[in-house]
Amino acid sequence: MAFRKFVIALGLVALTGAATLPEVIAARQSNYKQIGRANKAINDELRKSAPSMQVIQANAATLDTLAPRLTSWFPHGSGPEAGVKTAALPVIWQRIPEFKADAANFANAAHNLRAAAASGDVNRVRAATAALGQTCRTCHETFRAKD
Amino acid sequence: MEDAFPERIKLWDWPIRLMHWSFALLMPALWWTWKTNDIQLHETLGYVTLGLLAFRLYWGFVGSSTARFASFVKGPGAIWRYLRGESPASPGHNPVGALSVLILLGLMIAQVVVGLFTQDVDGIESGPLTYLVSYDTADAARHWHDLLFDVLLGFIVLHMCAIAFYALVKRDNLVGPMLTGSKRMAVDTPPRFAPWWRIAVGAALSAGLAWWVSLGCPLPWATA
Repeated sequence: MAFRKFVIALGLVALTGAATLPEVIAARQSNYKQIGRANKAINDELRKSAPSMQVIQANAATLDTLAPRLTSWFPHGSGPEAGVKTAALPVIWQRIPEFKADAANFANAAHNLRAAAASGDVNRVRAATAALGQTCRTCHETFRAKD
Repeated sequence: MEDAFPERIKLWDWPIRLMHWSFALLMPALWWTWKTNDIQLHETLGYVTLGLLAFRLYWGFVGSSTARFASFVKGPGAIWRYLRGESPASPGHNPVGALSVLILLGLMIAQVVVGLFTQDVDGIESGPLTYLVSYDTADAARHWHDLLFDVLLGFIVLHMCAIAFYALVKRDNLVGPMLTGSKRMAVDTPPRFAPWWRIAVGAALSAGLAWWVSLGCPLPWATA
């Protein structure tokens, strides 16, 4: 019986795409923290009189890798209704086109930042970082709960 | 109480009153700028608060007698006697009011210091000293900054309840003297007031400190 239950459970996991909603939310939060860490690392470099381009490039690459995946972290049902603590507001799933547009702006900004970092021009990096921060802010004002 | 019309004496100097009412305006303003996501202004007001707190500490050691910690901070024995109504009226903070001063100043200092290390979850908006700590520490600082605000708010409410209690039950108006600086009361030894140049020195030192912290506490010999 136990084995049969296990097979059924396995089948359910396969059907639903392997992760439960709380797991989806935990993974999403971990991804966002990676983004936050990368942002902090870049901003910390920019405070220094001689910022390390290598550190900036590595973190810009992280951002550019994660940013295009952002919308996939928000399957239906992964809002507050999932029953775990999340700052994702239900309005995300009510205004999907707007949410996707904001996410696309973020992905563009991350791509531009990576290009700026590759150029080695600190002023370009500074401008691209500020632009990226603005895309975070814009999206969060509408779609993220204030903690 | 012997004298029904005691003379009006000067109780609080203008730096104390200016600081007090600045804090009273800054606390709601800091809350509002957080609420409306105006982090730039929030930070600027935070530096103003930092400078005023630094001046208050300075004034607590070298300022006018009613501002000095040594003149109003009392031990448990004196607090107990005051609560039992056994201590004579003296100008300035009473032994229980002293606790209020220490707690409110201590909490505001803690809140400002934690705020310097606070960063938003995105790692975009950050206090001037977050670059000295890890992402996780700066993230934890944000939670402490949230929590300390609630604690501070609780003590501000308690402070206002105490003022209402003095006004309504003890018939002692504390707000008027904090505005005008003077109060009708019979005293044995009137307060002594610090000279203006000490105000100037303190203002320069505290403004300098706030400015230096806002730049991220750069050390002249470290050119990282």
